Amino acid sequence: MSSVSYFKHLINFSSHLGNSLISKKHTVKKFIFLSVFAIHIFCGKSVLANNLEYKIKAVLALKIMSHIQWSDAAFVASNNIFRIGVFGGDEVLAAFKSLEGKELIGRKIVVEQITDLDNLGSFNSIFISTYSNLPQQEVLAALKKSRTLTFGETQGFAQSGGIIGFYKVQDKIRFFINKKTAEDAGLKISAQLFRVGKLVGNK
Amino acid sequence: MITSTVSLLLACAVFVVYDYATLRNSISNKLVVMADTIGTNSIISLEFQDPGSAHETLSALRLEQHILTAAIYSPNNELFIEYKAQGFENIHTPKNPREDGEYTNKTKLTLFHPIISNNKRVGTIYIQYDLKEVRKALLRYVFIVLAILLFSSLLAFCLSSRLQKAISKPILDLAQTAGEVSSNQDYSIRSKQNSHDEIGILVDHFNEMLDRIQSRDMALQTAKNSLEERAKEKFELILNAAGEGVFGVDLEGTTMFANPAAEVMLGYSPGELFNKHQHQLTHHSRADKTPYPEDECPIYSTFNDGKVHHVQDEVFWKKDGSCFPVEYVSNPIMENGKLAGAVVTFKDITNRKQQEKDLIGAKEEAEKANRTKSEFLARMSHELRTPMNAILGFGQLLKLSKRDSLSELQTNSVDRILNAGNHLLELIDDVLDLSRIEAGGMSLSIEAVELEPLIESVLPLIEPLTTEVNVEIENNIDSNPCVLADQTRLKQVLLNLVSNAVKYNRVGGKVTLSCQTISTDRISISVSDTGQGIPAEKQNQLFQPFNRLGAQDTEIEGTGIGLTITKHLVELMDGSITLESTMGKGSCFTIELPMTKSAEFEYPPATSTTSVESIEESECSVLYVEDNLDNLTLVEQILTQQTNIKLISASRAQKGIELALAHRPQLILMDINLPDMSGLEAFKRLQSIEETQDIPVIAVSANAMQKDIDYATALGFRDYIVKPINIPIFLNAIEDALKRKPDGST
Repeated sequence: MSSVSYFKHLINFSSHLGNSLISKKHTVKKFIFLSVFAIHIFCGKSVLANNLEYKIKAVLALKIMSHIQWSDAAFVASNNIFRIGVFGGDEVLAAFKSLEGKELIGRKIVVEQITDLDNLGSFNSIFISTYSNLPQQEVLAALKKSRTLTFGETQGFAQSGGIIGFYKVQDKIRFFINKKTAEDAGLKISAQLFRVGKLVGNK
Repeated sequence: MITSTVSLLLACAVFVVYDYATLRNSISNKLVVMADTIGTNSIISLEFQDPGSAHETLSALRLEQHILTAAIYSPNNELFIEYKAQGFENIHTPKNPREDGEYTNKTKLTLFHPIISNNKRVGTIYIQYDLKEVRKALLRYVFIVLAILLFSSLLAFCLSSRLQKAISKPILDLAQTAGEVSSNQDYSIRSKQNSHDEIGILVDHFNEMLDRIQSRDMALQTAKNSLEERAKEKFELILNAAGEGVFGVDLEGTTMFANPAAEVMLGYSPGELFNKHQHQLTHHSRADKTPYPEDECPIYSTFNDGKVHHVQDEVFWKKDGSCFPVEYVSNPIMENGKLAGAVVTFKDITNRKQQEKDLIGAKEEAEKANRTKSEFLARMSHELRTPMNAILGFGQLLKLSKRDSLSELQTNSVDRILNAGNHLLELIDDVLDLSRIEAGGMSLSIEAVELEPLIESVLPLIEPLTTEVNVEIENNIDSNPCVLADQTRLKQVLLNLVSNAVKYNRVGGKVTLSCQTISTDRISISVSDTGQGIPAEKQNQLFQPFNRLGAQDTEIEGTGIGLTITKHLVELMDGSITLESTMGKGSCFTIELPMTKSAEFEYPPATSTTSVESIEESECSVLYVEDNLDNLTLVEQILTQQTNIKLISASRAQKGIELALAHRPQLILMDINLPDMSGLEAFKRLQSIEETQDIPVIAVSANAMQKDIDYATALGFRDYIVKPINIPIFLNAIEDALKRKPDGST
């Protein structure tokens, strides 16, 4: 469940609770207090859950990236560093920033937030969250013919042009792999990775 | 057959064990390979924490039907995923992995194996293998082996039975025959020939060999019998010819043989001794006719200890009841390393015994004669000295007399009496010494003697003589070597040599004493004079007794036996004496003696024989026990001149003891040869009486033998004055005794 849906649920719950309290002629002060308390409780839980989920996704992304073979040409545009771009809010960026400074295939990782479509090909990997300010399809379209590994979390991400699409099963995060898209992007995925990820094709 | 079966069984057992070990190893290797494969395929699952994919990997194990369970553990040793074979879902999987390695129980083989990625342990794989099937296979294998073994054993048994009939039985028959021949030493036995094949030939040859051995054996036996017969004949010849008696006895003591000499000596007819009990017949008693038990008999000891016993002093009894002394040797008879009896060789030693008896008689006679001679010498000495005591004693008194001075003629006469008396006394002493030496009765006390003080003690004794003849003595002995000698006798020797050198010197001549070390243990002492020398032809007569080489015609006094005694004494002291003489220049006598390192001996100062001092003390009584009137008168007259001495006398020892008790004299002079009891016995009685035991007693005796003097001194006599009395020495002894306290202090 995303934070947006958590928030919607919280508003519904708050208005339902508020109505019942008014009908019982309680004071407005009490209503306000309870509302603030509820917001605090549910919103706080939602933020914490999101934060953990993105951290897991960031770690998974790093592990997946270690099973993928890039050609050296992929690092010409990135100045021989491993550039990871993130479409999403600050918490998503913060989770991925935890990877910064680490090394992958002999190159230092740099994490950057992306807000537009300019120069997307210079990133070696891009994570497109549900909080992306740009539509997912536009981003994927902009990355066609680039050597960038794409991660997404929306349903059908891998089937609709992405390479690795995260999904949740019984509170565990798994992923789909679109082998065809990856091969089009010039990326070789380790056969081992297919044992833990589900292989999908384009729609 | 049994050996072959056991060998086969063992070989099969080895194969089974080896195959099982090989199979077990191959399973183990297979499991390791499997674990490696699964591990490698599970690394990604562990990395992505994907138990689903890991389970897929593990599920591949279902193809291996013997795998019961398997599991993968995470790096923190928690169960990550497990697999259980169909039908074994109830088997328990360990929650945590054990240490890496294989674990086996009766039916299962368990493996824990690490999962390594990039040299880092990322987990552990666990596989359990079912060994039941392996064991079943092993049992099947064993069963097949046993079946084959049984079959091959049966086949071998059948074959060997057939072969035994054809080959083994004839060989066994042959071996049995050989065994019988060997054990019975019977070469007439033959093996039966049943066939004409190789074994038949073998039997044939074996029988031929037995024929040859039998004929050779018979020839050997004949030769042996012949040799034994000849040996027996020779043995009998030797026995018959032997002068000594020889008989043999078995362990029972029964006579097995006896030679003619033995039969004759023991008084039996030929063959009569055979089979008779030897000890009961000839050896039953000792010489004194006391029974002689068998167990004490040396011949029977030979049976026990197997040693040779040689007996020299026993008797054998003859048939007629008489006995004769025998010397016999009992030798053990050994037969095949065991004692079989003893052979006794004996001879009649009657003649030898008689000779021994005669010799003992002769020896006793000689000893008796020697004792008689010694007694005669002692008596002669005593008997000669007794009158000499009167002669010399009164002569000395006359010479020492102050009150009645003698005329010159009388003085000369007295001197002549004294000189003649002293000469006679010297002669008596020398003759006695010579007799003792020749009789071998001279006993010496050899000790380390320092030469220098000995010479110093001799020279003063010669001094009056040197003054008389005006001869100078030059003593060149400046070192102080020690010689091994009898101190008294060496002094006698030196005194004789030096006095001779002085006496036979020219007037105004010189005597030189010198010594020289010959070797580390020998020394020579030389006394040379400046006399006329001794002619070479007479030198060999020099040491003969009473041969003065013509000096008897001169005024020089001498007995003629001094040098004889000197030579004997020097030789008795392991020395020698030599003479070098040059006519007109002088003679040199050299004695050579053994030398030693050191000695501790104090020489008494030379006693002056010339000065006589009166006993100036308060009046004291002296008891003189003497049976000879002359001697008593002499002592009375000697002591009369000593105004402070009151003399009491007794002619019997008993009387002397009574007087001693009555008067308690300060001194007792005791003769030894007294009529009623000896002076020695009287002394013992005086010692036993409390009142007289402290009175000093001086022996005054003509018994001049050294053993008499030593005995009296040991008994406790204060002094021993030898007759004839030398008045100065006698007075000195009395003075010394009177001065001393009873405890011996002065």
